Amino acid sequence: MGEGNGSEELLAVSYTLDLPFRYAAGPFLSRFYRELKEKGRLVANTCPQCGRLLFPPMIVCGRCHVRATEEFVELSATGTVLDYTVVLQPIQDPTTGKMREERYPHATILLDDGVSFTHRLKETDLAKLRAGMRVEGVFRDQGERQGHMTDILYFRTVED
Amino acid sequence: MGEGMNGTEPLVFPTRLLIPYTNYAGRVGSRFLREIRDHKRIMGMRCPQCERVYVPPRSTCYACFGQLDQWVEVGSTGTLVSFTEVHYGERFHPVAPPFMYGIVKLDGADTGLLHLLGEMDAGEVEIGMRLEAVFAQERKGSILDIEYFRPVAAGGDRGRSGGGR
Repeated sequence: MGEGNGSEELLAVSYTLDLPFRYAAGPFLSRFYRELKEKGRLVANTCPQCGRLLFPPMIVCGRCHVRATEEFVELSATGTVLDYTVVLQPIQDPTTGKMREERYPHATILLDDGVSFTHRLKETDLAKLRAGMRVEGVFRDQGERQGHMTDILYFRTVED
Repeated sequence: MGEGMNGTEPLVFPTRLLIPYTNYAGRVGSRFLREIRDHKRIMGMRCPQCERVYVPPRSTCYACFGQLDQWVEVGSTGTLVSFTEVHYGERFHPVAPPFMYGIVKLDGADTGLLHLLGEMDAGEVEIGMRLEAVFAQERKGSILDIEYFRPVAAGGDRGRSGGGR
């Protein structure tokens, strides 16, 4: 039987896999998100052995493998950009399943208290982005915060 | 602070991933599905060297690596090779539980076709039992154009049938 001649109908099946799931934050991270939501501030706990800040808060120090303290300290929301990348390919927001908007700078930020994490930057002008730039976190208003990292909208540039 | 963690109610975040897929059937798979959709005919691919008949059809023989193009029609009846009963619902299953999957070796085929079993209870299923394809009324060009396989009614087994024509 002859194979097709180029005009044969080729079939495809399209579907969307919808995967809802629940993420339990545990007591330490829950405390972190609650502080963020209710007081609009970033907190960390400490390792009793090496003394370093654990951020986001953790139950065990990953270096010393000892149980961390349950004392929380408030961190300054100002810091310095260590490095950054500009996201051009939109990716999915795992909390909603919707695509994020395109083109935003994502940076590793060293907070003034000495801990680092990643978040987005407000500045989208490539010419103005540089490692070493000073930034500060901009939080959503009280009442709009949900206890989530997106309660920090972005880090905006602080003029030296 | 230091009031301990016992008073901290853990937070649980609802999250969600939506993953869009398109699976392309390819030339061989497309013809397989078109024959079922348009003619209720189940086609296999024969390897001229080792004489295996593949259902679902493939373009390459996995035993001797030859390129295959010998289409053959196989029966819409066959023999149950293996089965399982599914009690746990997952979104990738085409139907809600409880239901049964079976591997059916169609008459004239040398390989098993994975499909749904229907019109029987789990207690009635037996490896080696005779089955026949039930074609969907409305066929759209997917493997679910066969709705499921059911037991061949007593006396109704024609051995190798002509595929519902």
